[in-house]
Amino acid sequence: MNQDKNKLLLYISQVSFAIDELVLFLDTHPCDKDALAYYQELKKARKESLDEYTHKYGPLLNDNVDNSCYWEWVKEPWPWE
Amino acid sequence: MWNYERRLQYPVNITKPNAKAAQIIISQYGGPDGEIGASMRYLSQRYSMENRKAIGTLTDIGTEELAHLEMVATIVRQLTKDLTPEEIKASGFDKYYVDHTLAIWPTAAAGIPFNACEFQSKGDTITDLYEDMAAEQKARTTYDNILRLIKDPEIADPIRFLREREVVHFQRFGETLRRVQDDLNSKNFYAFNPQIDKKPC
Amino acid sequence: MNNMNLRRPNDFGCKMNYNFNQGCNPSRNPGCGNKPAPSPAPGCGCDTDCGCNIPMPPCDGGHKPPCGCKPPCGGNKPPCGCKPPCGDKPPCGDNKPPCGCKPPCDGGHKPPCGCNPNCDADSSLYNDQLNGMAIGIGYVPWQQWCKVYDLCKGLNQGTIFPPLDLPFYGCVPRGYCKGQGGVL
Repeated sequence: MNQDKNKLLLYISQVSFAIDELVLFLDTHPCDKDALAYYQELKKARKESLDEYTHKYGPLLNDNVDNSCYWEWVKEPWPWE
Repeated sequence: MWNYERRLQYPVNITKPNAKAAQIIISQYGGPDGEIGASMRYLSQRYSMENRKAIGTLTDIGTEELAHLEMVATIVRQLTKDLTPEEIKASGFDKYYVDHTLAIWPTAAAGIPFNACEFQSKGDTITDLYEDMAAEQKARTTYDNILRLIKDPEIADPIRFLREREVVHFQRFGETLRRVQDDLNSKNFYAFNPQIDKKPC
Repeated sequence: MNNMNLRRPNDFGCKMNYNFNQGCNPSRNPGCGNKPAPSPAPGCGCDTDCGCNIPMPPCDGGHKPPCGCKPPCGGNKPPCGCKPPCGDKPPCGDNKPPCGCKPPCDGGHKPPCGCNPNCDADSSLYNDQLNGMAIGIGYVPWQQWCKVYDLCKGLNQGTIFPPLDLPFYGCVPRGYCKGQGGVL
């Protein structure tokens, strides 16, 4: 279970990093059609993987915390731990 | 203007303490060419920029540098959190430890605390972009220097990643400068400062 | 990335031992290409705006005009230091290599003025791909879109763009990159 969680988190990191790279590229090449098209693909892939992770393992963003009894956000380990 | 995600940009998983490595890597946290300086530099310069694309680049790279800051802090934390008092004393880390225990505090490896003299926000677009390009090269060189000293692949791996980001950032600042040059008169790029001079004299 | 060592024909005129007449670039200063170099400020060289308006000192009677004067370029020798009109190759005479720093002055000929056998003819100085760009400032070439790394390799390398993937290979003999450990 943990392995699947780690694998999904790694995938999210990979797709998010590609988006980071594209954002910087598009800041200086705002009209590049290839970059714009790839960005749209990655955007979709990232959203789907984020939704899956949040559903299975909990939120990665604090505007998406589900639990109404306890502020789960402070329960999980932080990334440097 | 910030949200965050609960993950590092690149994973850091260091399993063995190493106080000597921590003492040099902390320079990329609080040293003259480290990530705090980079982040504060870009995020400070953007407010007065007249070129919108430059503001975009400065904001996005400045934000990424905050993520790098976090990675460097994580590396130092993982290298120091399980140190014994004997290891602290033997490694020379005691000088930092006495003032900060095992907390992370921005300082250079040689001891100068981070301060705003380590970056400039000059208010001239060309000047600021050259400052930024130089900063990326200095950071890259610092990571080169770290890579020469480090033997543990668990440490070298995230350092390698951070170093490569500096190469890419340099290219982006260079391209931003090209955009700015396109908007100025090539007969004399320095005729006026578009951030303050409203029209050329 | 462009190959910065790509050789191109050299368009400049007689380089000899003075500064490049870069300000007098016909493509930037149309009409200037046919005009003689201006009378100089310090040192021979077109270091002001292509001074087509600056009055020329009169050439003296001999074959050695002062710097900046319209060269009579009499005989087979352009006077040393005399600036030819922008863009024109000087008639450097028989058996002499074209003015400018070329690879080794061989024994059979007098080197042209200013020729230094140590001059590096491969330098980008003589084959400048930025020829025509304004000087006094630097330029980073534009990156073009290319085939990117797959997601896994991109994160591992620290970039998705192969042309920007520039790893560090330098290390002490026991450095990490040789897999034999550093010093810490």
